[in-house]
Amino acid sequence: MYKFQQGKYADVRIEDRFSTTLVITDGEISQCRELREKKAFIRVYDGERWYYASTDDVVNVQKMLDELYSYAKDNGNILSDPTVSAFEVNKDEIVRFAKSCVADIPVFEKAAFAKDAAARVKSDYAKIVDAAYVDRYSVYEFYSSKGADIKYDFQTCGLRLSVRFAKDDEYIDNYRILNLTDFEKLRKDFSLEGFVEESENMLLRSKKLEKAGTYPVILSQEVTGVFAHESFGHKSEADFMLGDETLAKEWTVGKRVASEKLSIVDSGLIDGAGYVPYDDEGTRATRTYLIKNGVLEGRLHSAETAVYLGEKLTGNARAINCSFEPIVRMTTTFVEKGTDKLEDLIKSIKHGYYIKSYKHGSGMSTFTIAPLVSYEIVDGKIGDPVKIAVITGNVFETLSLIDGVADDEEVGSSPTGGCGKMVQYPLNVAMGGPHIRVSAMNVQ
Amino acid sequence: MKRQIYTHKSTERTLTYTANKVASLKINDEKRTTVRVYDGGFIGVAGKSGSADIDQLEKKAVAMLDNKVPYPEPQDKAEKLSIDTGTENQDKSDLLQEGEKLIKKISEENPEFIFSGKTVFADTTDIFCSDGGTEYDCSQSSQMTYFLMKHKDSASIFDDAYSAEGRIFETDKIAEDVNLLAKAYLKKLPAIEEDEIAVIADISSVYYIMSSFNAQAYATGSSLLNGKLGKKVFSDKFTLYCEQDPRKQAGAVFFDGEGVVNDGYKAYLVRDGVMQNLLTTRQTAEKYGYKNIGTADAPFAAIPQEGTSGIDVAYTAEDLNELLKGEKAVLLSSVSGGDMTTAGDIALPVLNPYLYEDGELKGRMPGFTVTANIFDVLGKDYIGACGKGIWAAGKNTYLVFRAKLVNKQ
Repeated sequence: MYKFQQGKYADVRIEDRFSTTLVITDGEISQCRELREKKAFIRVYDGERWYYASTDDVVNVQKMLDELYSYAKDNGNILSDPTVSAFEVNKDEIVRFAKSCVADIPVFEKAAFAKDAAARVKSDYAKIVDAAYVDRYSVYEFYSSKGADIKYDFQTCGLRLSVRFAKDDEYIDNYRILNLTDFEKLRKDFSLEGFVEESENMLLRSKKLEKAGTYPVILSQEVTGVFAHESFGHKSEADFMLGDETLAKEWTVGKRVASEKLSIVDSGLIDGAGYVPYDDEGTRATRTYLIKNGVLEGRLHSAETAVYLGEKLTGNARAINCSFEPIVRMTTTFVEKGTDKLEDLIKSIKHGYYIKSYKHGSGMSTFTIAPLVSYEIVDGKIGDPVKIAVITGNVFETLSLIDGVADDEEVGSSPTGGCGKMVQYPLNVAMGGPHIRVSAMNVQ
Repeated sequence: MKRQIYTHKSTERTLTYTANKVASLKINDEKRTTVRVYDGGFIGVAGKSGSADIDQLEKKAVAMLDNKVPYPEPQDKAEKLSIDTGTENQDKSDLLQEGEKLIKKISEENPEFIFSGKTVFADTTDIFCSDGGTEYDCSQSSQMTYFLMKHKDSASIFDDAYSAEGRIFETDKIAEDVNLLAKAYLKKLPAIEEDEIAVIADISSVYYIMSSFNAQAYATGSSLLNGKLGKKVFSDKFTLYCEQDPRKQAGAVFFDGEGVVNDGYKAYLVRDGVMQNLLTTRQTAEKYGYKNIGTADAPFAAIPQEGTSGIDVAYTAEDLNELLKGEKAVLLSSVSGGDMTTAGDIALPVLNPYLYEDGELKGRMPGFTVTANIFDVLGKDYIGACGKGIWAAGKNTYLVFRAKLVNKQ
């Protein structure tokens, strides 16, 4: 298909992406975009440096490839370069979503669904009701000078209903999200059960945090997911270890890094936003334990990082689109369920907090999560909603303080957001887990 | 029917630094064209990346009118304006060598650290034209460099970060800044004793309140600034605006996404502490009866939205020394995901606070969390803002206010 030159490695990735973004604000369409984009990303490697090009002129991929070849040096031993040797040569075609493709659904049907969801919010306090419907259907192709020839498709569609409730000078924001791979299922399953009641309760009864300090905390499934993703998932991305002996030693597989109740997994094989059957270097997806029973079990790799650390490829070299090069990223990252019951976790707390949903999270040596909906726990019972700016903690101390893992694992994703790393945002990922209890966390 | 066309062209060259070396060079050429049509009180939009057939796009945009998205018709001016700040980026063939020299210099001068990061050189052109006779175009070159610094003995994925954004790739100044930060990082100081102190933050501290300037939020009574339009809300010293002059701020475009050009290329939200305007599009301004101050974004192939591009504050002093008048302060670096409650209470977990005294960074203290209320930060506790003080490269805004410190490590 492409004329690859001897003495240099090269690959070509093409994405043909259809997407819809629809926003209903106060019953009317305020945003409506239907877009089809086809772009290519080309890489050439000479054993010393990578040369990349991105183009939306896909008929001229060969021309861009030849331009990159002109920058790279000739290397007669390129096929024995360790990274090039490690690249898998897969030939496969997995087209799963063409029959239920969101591109075939008229935009007015999508708008009607979003309008209907927004109209179901009945509250005198609801001042701004935004229903954002987002879908995407992508067909990826990947070809390499080693002979890889892969084609697969990907689809998501979701609704984020965001409402600002206000009374006098007080306001609160709340949302409901569902992101799936099938429009009909989304239309059927999107539920607002308990949403208005919860929101009005937050607006009318939220307390200020009485005293910032350290408390036992229960994280919901979605907050457990962002905690696992931010606190540990990013640290498992092995590109941070390139050229760094200290990190490689510090992160030795087999080291205890968390409470023995904790196991964290990343897998590109799970349906949803984190489904990546082949990564952007053509590596087949795997299921990778990052932590197993509290012990460091593995990490996430591109071919380059796997070679550097002498480990197996995991299929985690990903780019947000064909404007960017693949870097090590997560796919679907989740805490494995345990055996505890949620009600027992709550009962065990005399005074603490339940973090039900979040606005955003981040993590380096310290992680921070900004809660959206939080409740006080008093004498083993969920109490009033409370306004909390952030919960924070040292990552490793907190991982060791997880003393309860429930049996109610759930995985989800956001249709309007994703994961950010350096300049690449948003990447479609999924995350989740069960309810977990942390014996001490800083609440502010 | 009326028609507007917004075109954004960019040519980017990106160097990626990995473990003290230039690991890759990326070439990215992009052109994005958006056509909007207005008819009968509705808007239709279509867009295409790459080469675009305007007639085809117009047909698609017209078809989108069927979705009945309400939008007022534009009253575009018959006017031609052009600003070209010049292509001050170095000859493109030198970029790789310049990047190699820079990473070599900072890694040799700071052997305790491993550096990774990027430099993005961008040449961009934004063009707005309408069949009302408007023809605006804005061309510029800019560069953005960031480095993640990791101490060789550290188990963290990185320990601090530096970034510079401006028109020119000032390698000597960037190296000077990185050396300054690295030296300060290595000089460990004891935990801060004060429970309240002047802190030096950047413009991101005002982002928390930006959603409260949204016209719809304000009109529906769900803004933190409810009822305050036209009133004195903040310190006399606090003036907040969107800078739209590309000669003053790299990346700024002198017209907004709907072709509005402001006097002096500035859109004021707060002037001398008085809340003056709201963030609007033409649609929200007309719907809610506010002045349209020309801050709309032009998202690709989509309907204009309220934007906050180029947000900045007026400087109240020449430099940090003039602001602080000998008072010691703390530079907030590596703020880990802070946030604000709907009551305006802010919490900023700071991983690396640096003591700033006698005009220099004295060293790094153990982390803490800054707590404050946004109205105090920009009100009674607001000391002021300036553009000079610590970093040599790029454009910098230092926002200085007094705040409480909790959760000291």
